Formats: sequence, C-alpha cells, structure tokens
Amino acid sequence: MTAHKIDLKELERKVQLMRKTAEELKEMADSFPALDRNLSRMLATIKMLELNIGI
Amino acid sequence: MLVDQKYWNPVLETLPREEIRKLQLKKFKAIFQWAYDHSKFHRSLYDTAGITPNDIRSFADIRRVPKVEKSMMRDVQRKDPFPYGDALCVPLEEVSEFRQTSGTTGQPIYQADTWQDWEWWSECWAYILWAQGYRPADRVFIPFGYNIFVAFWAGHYAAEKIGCEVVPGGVLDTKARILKIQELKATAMMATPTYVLGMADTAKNKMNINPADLSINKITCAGEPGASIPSTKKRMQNAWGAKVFDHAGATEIGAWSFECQDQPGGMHVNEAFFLVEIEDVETGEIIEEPGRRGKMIITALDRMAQPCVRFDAKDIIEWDSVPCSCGRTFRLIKGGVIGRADDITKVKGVLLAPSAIEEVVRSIDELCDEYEVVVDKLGDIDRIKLKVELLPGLEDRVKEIESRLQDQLRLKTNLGYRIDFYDYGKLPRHEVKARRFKDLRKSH
Repeated sequence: MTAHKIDLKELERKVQLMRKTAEELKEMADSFPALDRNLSRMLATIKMLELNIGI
Repeated sequence: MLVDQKYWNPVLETLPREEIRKLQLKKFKAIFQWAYDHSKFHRSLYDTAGITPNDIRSFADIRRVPKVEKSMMRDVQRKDPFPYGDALCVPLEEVSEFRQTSGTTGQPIYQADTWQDWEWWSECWAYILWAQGYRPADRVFIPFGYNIFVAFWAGHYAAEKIGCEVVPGGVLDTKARILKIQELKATAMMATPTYVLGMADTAKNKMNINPADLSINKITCAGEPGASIPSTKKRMQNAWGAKVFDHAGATEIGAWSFECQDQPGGMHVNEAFFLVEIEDVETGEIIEEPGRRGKMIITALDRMAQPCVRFDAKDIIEWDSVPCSCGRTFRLIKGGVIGRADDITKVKGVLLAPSAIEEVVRSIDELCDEYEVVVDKLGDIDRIKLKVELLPGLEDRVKEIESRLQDQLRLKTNLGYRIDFYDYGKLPRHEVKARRFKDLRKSH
C-alpha cells in the first residue's frame, strides 16, 4: 500500500467504529476486570491508530 | 510486502510541509486546552501570562505561551498528588508507568505515564526503528540495565510492536552480553555510544572476539550525542561492522528525533508527534531559517498524563538547509543535538562545546576511545586539561601524536590544552552515559 492509495476517510470511519465498539464494551464491563482492563489497553491502541492517520 | 515499506507511516512521514504545520497547530491547540483544563500548574502559569486556549490561533500565538523549565517541574513535584505534583492531568490510578530523569543536572524529575502514553512512547520509537531498518526478522539485543530510567525501555516495546524478537540483556555483565549476542546471532542492538565502544573494547581486548565478526548489522544509540559526532560514529561502525544510527529523546519529552537509513548527517524531527522550535539564546527570537544555532523548545503533541508543552530542553540544535534523500518531509536537524546550553561554556572567553573535543579525540587513530576534559582556574586564568589514553605500543610517538592533537584542537575549538597521556585502561570506563566534561570553575 503506497501513500496515494490509502483511503484516509475510510480508515477514519472504521477506526471510529472500533472506538465506539470498544467504548460500548467498556461501559458493559465495569464488574468484569478481565474485560475492562483489556479494553482500556485496546482503547490506547485505538488512540495510536487515530494518531497515525492524523485524527 | 510490509517489510519492503520504507516508512513506518507512509501518510504522516511524507505529508507536504503545509499539511504538517496544519496538523501541528491543530494538535498544539488540543494539548494546550488539555493542560489548561487538567493541570493546576499549567493553568496557573497560563493565567499569570494572560493566555487562554482561545488565544491560540497561529504559530505566532504559540510563541506567547510561557516556556516550562526543569527547575519549575522540581517545584511542582513538591506538591500533591505525591510524587508527581499538580502538573498531573489524570487520576493517580490511571498512571501505569513510573520513570525518572537521571538527575545529572539536579534533583530528578518523576515522570508519570498512562498506558496510552506508554503506547505513544513505543509508537514514537517504532518510527525510529523502522526508519533505521528494523524489521520483524530482526533479533534485537538490548544490553541495558532495565530500571527506573526510561532509556531503552520504549525501544524494547517498539521492537516488539514492529514484530522483532527482543532479547533483554538486563543484568548480564559485558562479557556475558557479548557471548549472548554471539550465541543467538543477534542482528541489532541499542546502547549509548560510550557502551557501544566499551563493549567493542571488551570483546577485542579481553575476549579475543572481533565484534565485526558478530552478526550485529545495525545499532541504535541514545543518551549521548556520539552517534552524530562523525569520528565517534566511524569508530563504532568500524568496530562492529554495522551501521550506527542516532536518536534523541528525554524522559520528560519523549523520543522526538531519529536518524534514517540514509544517514544524512543529521536527524529527522518527528513533526507529526512533536513541535520543535529553535530559540536564539541571546534574543529569544524563534529561528526559522537553517544554519543558525539555538536552544530547542519542544512540545510533545500527544502526551497526556504529564504534558510537555513548550519545554525548554536546553539542547542546542539547528535546522538543516536541505531535505533528506529518504523522502521524509520531517525536517532535519543538522549534525543532531550539537550540545546542551548548560555544557556550552566560555573558556578563556571562547565558547566551547564538549562535543567538538570528542570529534577531535576520536579522529586520532592512535588514541583509545576514553577521554576526560577538566576545566579549572589557575589564579584568574582558565585552563583545560585533556586526559587521553594511548593505544599500547605507541609510547615512543607521544610527542608527534600530542602535536597533531594540539593542532586539531586549536583548529576546531580555538583553544590550547594541557594534554595528559595515560596507558590503556587507566581512565574510568562507563556502562551508560559518561560524564567526560568537568568544569571545576563552577565549584570555586
């Protein structure tokens, strides 16, 4: 994949979908440490995806 | 193929300059707002200066934002919450990483990072390592005493993120580390320039192993400017038969710059993640043009727990005039970090950068890697003593070598030196950063 073939809009849309899903799961996991803590890490990783596409 | 990709981030690393500037301005506004809203220290600093987030509309506005100095952080950390103080922007329970500065310039600063910040640290390092040719097939040996100092921790995590196999060389001694590199056929390594040369010396002179015969093909340096000093870089590359790359970072900033595989004689600033400004030391004016040295003021644009906003890093740098052949649009700083404002001092009325002495010493093949510089006063007159080690068997050439050394030192630094020659192995060896420059005038 070279820079000119990268569809940033589509990447952004899918990353935001991931964020939304992870946040919704986290809300459901406040009494489920194994999910809550892994989702926190997942959200940190999603943040790196956002930074890398300039959001 | 992924491994053939030149850039870790083909979008950000090749953004047109005006797009990079737009991104930096957008991010600066966001981190400024974050610090203003969440850090008592920052809000008080900015309120006192009469500047609020709504005032930041341009780079000219950014220049009105007060700088933060290390000494201010020491005061901050006497306040609650312990031990970070009121620049902390997140609840303590969100802090997952503790590191501290080495304390070479005073009381150490404690640095808090959340897991997101730690992901950010390793992300910054991933840009560095990918640009230096690290790929998933690499076996990376890290001869570093994993501890409270950030040093190569983030390099370790970044190498994992890239997909490399990482061998932590933690508490092993130097000989054991060399044997492990040999046994595992490690292909890459990260260390300070002092230790890269120290390991090579141990391998050659105490173990009868030529480090160039080992399988290391690239080395990433940090902690000292050596990998950007041509003669030191050459010594390291010759000793190990490997490419040696520089990078610069700091505990309270992050990993903000890196040399790429093209080795352009400077380092790229990761401008998607950091805003670097260069300030004229005398006038305080921001230097935009290449070729003028000044002090770095830096903002980590995405670091959240303990923000780094217009931090006066005291590193002396200058912009390069030419873009890098690698195609990255991130600007280059010429010759890497040239020195620290704290270390560049006047001796006999002449400005002296310790790195200039290193460049001369390491360019003389008859001298060993170690050296020490001591500046003191005899009455009212400054004097500089340079201690060097001669390679074994060259004792009858001392006069000729001294004359060459004096000539080069005068040429490069405009100063005369008293030179003391020592036998090989007599000067102290260092495992991490070396303090080779001692200014005893400050204690008078």
